[in-house]
Amino acid sequence: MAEVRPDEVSAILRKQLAGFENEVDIYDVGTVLQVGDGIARIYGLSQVMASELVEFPNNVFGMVLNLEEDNVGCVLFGDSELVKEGDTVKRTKRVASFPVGEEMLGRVINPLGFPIDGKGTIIHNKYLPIERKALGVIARQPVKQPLQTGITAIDAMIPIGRGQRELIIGDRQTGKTAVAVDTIISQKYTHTEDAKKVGVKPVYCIYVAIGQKSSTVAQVVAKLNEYGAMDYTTVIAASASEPAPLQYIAPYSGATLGEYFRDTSRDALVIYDDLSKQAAAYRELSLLLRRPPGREAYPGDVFYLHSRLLERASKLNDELGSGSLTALPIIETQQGDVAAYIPTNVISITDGQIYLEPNLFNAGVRPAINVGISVSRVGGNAQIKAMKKVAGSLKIDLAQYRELEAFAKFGSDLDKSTQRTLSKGARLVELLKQGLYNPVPVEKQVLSIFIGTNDYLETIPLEDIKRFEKEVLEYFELKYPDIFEAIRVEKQLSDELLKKIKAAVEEFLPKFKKSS
Amino acid sequence: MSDLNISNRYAHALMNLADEKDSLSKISDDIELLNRTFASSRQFQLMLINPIIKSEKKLTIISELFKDKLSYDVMEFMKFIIHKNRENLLFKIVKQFIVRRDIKLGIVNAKVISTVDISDEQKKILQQKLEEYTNKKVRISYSFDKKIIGGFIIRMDDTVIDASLKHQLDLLKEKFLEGSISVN
Repeated sequence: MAEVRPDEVSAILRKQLAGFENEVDIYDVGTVLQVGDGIARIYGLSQVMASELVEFPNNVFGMVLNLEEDNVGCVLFGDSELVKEGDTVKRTKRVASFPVGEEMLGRVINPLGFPIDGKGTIIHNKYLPIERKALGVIARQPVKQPLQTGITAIDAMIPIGRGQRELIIGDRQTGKTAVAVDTIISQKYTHTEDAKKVGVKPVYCIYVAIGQKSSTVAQVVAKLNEYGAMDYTTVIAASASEPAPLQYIAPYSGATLGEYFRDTSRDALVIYDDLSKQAAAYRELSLLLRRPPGREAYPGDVFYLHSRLLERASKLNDELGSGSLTALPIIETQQGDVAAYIPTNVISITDGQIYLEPNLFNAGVRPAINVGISVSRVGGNAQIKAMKKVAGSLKIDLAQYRELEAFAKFGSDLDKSTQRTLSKGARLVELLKQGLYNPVPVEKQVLSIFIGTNDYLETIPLEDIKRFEKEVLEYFELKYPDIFEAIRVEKQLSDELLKKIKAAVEEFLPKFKKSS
Repeated sequence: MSDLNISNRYAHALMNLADEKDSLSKISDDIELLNRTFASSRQFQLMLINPIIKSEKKLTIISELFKDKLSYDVMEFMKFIIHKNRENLLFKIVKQFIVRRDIKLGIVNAKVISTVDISDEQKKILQQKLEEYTNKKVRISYSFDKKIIGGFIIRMDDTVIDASLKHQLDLLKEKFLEGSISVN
């Protein structure tokens, strides 16, 4: 074995040290006056900026939030037990920022950019501040491309466009996270060659988990891995055990990463799960910083907290590369109370909401979307023509059904037309039920709804609807794949295509075996 | 209102008085004397803070202590503070006054920490350099600390100019650790 010569060792050492400059360091310092509950008050740091990162001993970082006459209030991102009174605090002269880039995809990271999935360090070379001003009017254009969630009820009646902000709201245990995860899984199609051919741009996903159990986050990550969705997804997690400041900045970190994709002419989807917990974390640190409490003890700027976050979702104009950032914030209500402070705030900020109801969920209507009060204010323009055509009558049919639903118990006492409306509505509701992690591509959604709204289901018993849908889709896939292809490529239903579909459905109807 | 706010008010008032009577140097000398007294006698501090001792008593003690030593204005100011029952803040007021006076006169306090004695020549150069750097008059106090191993540290208000060997070694350590995983 070759000997290692001492001169070689010192040569390497010298090379390694070459970048190290022996310079006088000038920095600004302060002294910790008081520390506790994740808040430190500091004397000194006279030039410090708001939301600047400051460094405490033991590698603990903090962010400056309050600049007061005689002290600086600061939140700690690390363990407050490592910081003592009298410790020296150093300025970093850098506002809190987050590393961005493609290398973040497939990773689970904390809101400061440190990986927490045990897959080693992430080599990144670009940082962006987590608090960025949202774009102005000139830089934007109206939402016009669809973001397929893969959930038929949403894509048909509450369509979401790329660059939209759509709130997912509901009580606990109503499937809010499931809708979000389904949407991420559904984006897998956009990363295929097939999608590229029909001009669908890939969507990069960011899932921000705020104040959730670590086990829940692990479950979501496992599901995303199982369906191969982690390749284009970043999970940013500030779980319930993290200090409140980390939970507070998590959504901003997510938005920053999303903006990176948007600004490089790509489409991004960011899910904030959930903002009620972020508001609670912000309330906690605001109260600790002795900011005056307002309604429900939230500080006065809790509206701005969410509005500045959601305003960052946008669709860029063509000169800027027409990238987009779609935001799906989630809000958990207590006992269906949508009139509480945070839900009303976020409802007013977003471009619509998907309302999930526990009653529907328990009645077996899953996803438990209440289509009556769910709306999408801008997504309509983003729907493909074919979907718009079939979804119009679906909305009307379901509205009529809801109106008459209360009379359903009178059964055969009702007149013929009412009975017809009721039976059709019940069949449509059945048709819109959908399994978990089972996104449906748009062409199949169009076909299902077409069959539902054109009275082909009249003769099918209620309990057979789902099986009928499955079999008819399989039949089409085997025998008429060109129909699906045509919807996908042309994105509209020409009369000729309609005729073809009708013929095929009528061909299938007699072949279907009813279960009873 | 916080102690700081209150003492700021009184210091401000005394400052204005000094401006009005054009006797800043006299008053500031008196205040320095008070500051030295505070620093040297803890008993004096405790006496002022103690609420059990009556105001009249405190007044008598102060008049006796500082008879002929303080100017009329400063003496009246002390009486006024005792009259207002703020004598417990006198120490802070004195400190605030000194800070305000330094700002007004454009003086920066610098603290130089080194491991060895600095020669007079070096001190002169240092003074000159710091005055160039800050564009203000610099008042330097020197002290020793073996912990910094070598070099020196200058602290002016919140700004630290760190040329100590210890800091260099810390930076080197950080550089070696770069790239390894670190979690708070």
